[in-house]
Amino acid sequence: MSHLSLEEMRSGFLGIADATFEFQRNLKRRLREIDRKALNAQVLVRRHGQELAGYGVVARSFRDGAQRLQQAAMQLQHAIHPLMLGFMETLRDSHQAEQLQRLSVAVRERAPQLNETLRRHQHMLEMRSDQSRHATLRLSHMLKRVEHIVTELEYVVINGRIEAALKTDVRTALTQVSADMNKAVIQVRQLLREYAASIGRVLP
Amino acid sequence: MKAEKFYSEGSHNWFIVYDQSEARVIDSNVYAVQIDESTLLCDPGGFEVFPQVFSALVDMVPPSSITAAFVSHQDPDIASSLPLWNACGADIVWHTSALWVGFIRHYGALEANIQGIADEGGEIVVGSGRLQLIPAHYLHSSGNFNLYDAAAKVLFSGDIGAALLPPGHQPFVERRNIDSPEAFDAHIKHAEFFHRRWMPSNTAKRAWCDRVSSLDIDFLCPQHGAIYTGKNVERFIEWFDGLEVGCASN
Repeated sequence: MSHLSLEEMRSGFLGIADATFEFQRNLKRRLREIDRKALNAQVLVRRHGQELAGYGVVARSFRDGAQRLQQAAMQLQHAIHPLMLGFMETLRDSHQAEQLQRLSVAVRERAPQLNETLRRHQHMLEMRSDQSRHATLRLSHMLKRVEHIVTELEYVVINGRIEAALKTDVRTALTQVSADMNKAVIQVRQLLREYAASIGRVLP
Repeated sequence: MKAEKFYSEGSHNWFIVYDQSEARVIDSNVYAVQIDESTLLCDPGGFEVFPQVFSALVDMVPPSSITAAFVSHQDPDIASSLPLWNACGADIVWHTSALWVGFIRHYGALEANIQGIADEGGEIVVGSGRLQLIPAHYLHSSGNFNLYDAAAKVLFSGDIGAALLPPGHQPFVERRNIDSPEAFDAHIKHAEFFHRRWMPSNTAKRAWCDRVSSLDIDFLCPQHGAIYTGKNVERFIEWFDGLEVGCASN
């Protein structure tokens, strides 16, 4: 983060806040869709009884995966919090330090406590930078977790397609449900990719 | 700090950010009204608590939607965060009493776009909504305004209705048994000293009570303490009307 100026970081963090808001809003919508598709699949399975028991497992896994994704997204939101708080504290402290740094060296020499205060500010900024590094690591860990759940969902979709191909009687209906699920997961993957890219621009 | 949505109708939302965790400065609430894609902040808060307010608020609204801020009066707990908000959004239009424009620039951000409100009040447009600026001079500041949202029936009352509550407080005055005045009576004990000591004018107070009694209010939202809802709004106006203010002795 240190290669960026405060000005660049400020605009980057505001971008992250906006991107987080958009990501969470869109993800909620997609997860609702996923839940509906999985429910449709479960209804179809119930209608055909034992014959589609295998697909029932797929539909249930899909729904469970969507719920886990929702929980992970909430944790991701919580992981953004300390990062945002830390940066805004840095912004506040830098603003204070800037006021003092504007004073000429001659003035500062006549009031030695000013230099002491500036040193304290610098120390505080370094501490916050450390905290930000920890918060960034945690965020990156949470992002990986979300990605992992999406990968699991993709795997469930593949299994669903195989199951659908094996059931000749209801193949058309199952293929449609599987295609819907596939589309929903692709959209989530795309959302996640865009969000991770917007974070990566500020927090490499 | 925590953030909570307390009014929502279509694309029209009101939020409160409350219960700050820094105890060395007076506990303050920040409100935000979002209409369509635009957000207005009400009394955006002090310099020291800005990081807390910002990080709680962005869970609720995207920062790029913040287009305006209303500053009820000049106090530091209300507006000293101005340079930091301005750093995060140089296009934010600030609205405060014309009396205080030159004063609040002392907080920093000389280049901020600050619009002075005339003594008789006016209107602020947020998205497709129009919010009324209600004069509340001398309650407590000499140039002081409330903000009324007629569509949501929300009155942001600045320091009027303020209560000094302990940490961990709720955003609302207890409303589970709203027909009983018991919860209101318990709450208002935390508000009495504030109003007696900080509000200087009985005349101004009576004029305000008359003015707001004619408004349809579901939420009376002070900058300190908790939101009055339903019957507690009437109870507060009645209580305030009967209170002798402008007194420095106990």
